[in-house]
Amino acid sequence: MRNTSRFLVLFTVVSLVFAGCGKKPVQETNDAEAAISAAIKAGAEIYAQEELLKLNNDLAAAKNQLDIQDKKLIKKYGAAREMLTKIAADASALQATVASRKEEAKNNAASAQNEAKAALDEAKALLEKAPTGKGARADIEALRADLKALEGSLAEVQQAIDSEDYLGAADRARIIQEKASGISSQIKQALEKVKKK
Amino acid sequence: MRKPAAVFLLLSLSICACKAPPVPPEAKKAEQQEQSLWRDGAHVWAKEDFDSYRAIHVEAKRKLSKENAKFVWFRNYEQVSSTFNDVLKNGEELQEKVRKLKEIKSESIAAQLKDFERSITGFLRLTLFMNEGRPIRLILTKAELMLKEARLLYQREDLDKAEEKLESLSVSVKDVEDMILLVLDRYSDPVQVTKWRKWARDTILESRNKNIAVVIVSKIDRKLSLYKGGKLLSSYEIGLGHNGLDDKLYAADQATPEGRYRITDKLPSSNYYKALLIDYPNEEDKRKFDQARSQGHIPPGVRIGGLIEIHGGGKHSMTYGCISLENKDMDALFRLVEAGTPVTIVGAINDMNEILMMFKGKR
Repeated sequence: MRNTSRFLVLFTVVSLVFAGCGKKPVQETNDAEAAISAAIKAGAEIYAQEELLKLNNDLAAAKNQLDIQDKKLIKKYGAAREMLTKIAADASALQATVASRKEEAKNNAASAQNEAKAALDEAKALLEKAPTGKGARADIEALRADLKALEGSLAEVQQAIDSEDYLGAADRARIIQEKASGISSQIKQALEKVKKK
Repeated sequence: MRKPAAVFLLLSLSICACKAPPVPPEAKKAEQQEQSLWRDGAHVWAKEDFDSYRAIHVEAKRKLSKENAKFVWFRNYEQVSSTFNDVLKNGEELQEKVRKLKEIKSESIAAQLKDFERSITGFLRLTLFMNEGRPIRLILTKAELMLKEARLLYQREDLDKAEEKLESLSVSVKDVEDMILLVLDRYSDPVQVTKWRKWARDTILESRNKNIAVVIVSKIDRKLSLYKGGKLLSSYEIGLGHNGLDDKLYAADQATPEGRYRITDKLPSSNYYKALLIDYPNEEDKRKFDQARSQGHIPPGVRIGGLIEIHGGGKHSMTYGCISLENKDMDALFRLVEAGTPVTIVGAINDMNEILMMFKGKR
């Protein structure tokens, strides 16, 4: 009887030790989820898709681990807790990465916008010098309309930048630059042709 | 004390000695498959299928957890393995479905890109030919930019955004078509073309009956033809103004009048080399102007205008409603006509004219 009592005491002590490790990491789960949400809000879906996918997968794995432990008699949440803490830390780090990539995209958009503007200004200046002789007036009218359209589109680049669509803004600016440069080349060729004559 | 301790030790040893059966490798494969499906956009392309796939995957994981929760020597992964195999099979089918859906959309976008490129290139050429250098061209250039953006998105496999861009593009292209049609619809109207053809025929008949020189201008063909005694002597290419294809209604509308006129004066020296002044506006023009004014179609204070000439300066000159020729052609024409020579200006003689064909080809 005395031995049985001692065994019970030992069993209780061991159970208490296990129970100490068995506290479900609710706070850590909430923190990890909140950190991922914050990363998404910062723009991770646009600027860090792969990293975000990995975080979501890690979170799913951690939750799976929690489910497994939930069903066990002796619950060990240590591994899941560790995973969740790491996810929260990674998600916070990702916010910084996203911010830096966003800044980079913003700078790229601004620089593409400046280049497009410079190309457009060059084309406009060249058009003023374009030969207006035989065969050219209709073309000049058309090119003038083209440049006007490009000017309108350049204003839309600013709108895209203002609405933080930096990737779209950069794309549009590069296309404008390409078109404006094409017009400049056309006029230069015409000028060259006139010079030769 | 010794007996329970021995039992405890024996129990612990038996737990440690009994090795757990390996977790089926299909579980890991399914995990990777789900990630790959997500990456491929299955959650967007086939949401319902992806949701069902995830549901059976969750169920498989639940069974695995249940098995893992058992004591080592009671674990049996046979059923779990079979469930995961079902997940994998389902995932493979879903992957194939997503691939096909993407392929269909991608092909459709590629075809649309090609169509729009053909249309825009054609319209750009057409607007140049029509001297339509302003409003239509403005929209066309914007459409051209949109097309390039759509192509860029397509190349990046951002098919949804590419499709969105193509939708906006189709609106712009439709606007262009409508605007061109506003100018060209008269040229495909059989009643109008028959009327023009009759004017031309009557003028040639007059040339034959009176054995005189007559001039016929077909605006859409950009051609001036000189007849003598009812026979074609020569043809010259001409230039018109911005709104050259429209019928002139009032001063400064930059349209070229349509009707039966006569040369009123030969000017051997003018701002545009040599010039032949015609008697625009004639009685019919005045009637049209008065009618348009009474209907409120003429801006206030605007008069009917005049001084419509056939002049030199080059066939590419942008006129304000006159008809321009190369100087050497003007020399030839100037020699063969005189004051009183009939000049008939029509929109088109054929309803199968080049511009209409170009336009129909782009639609």
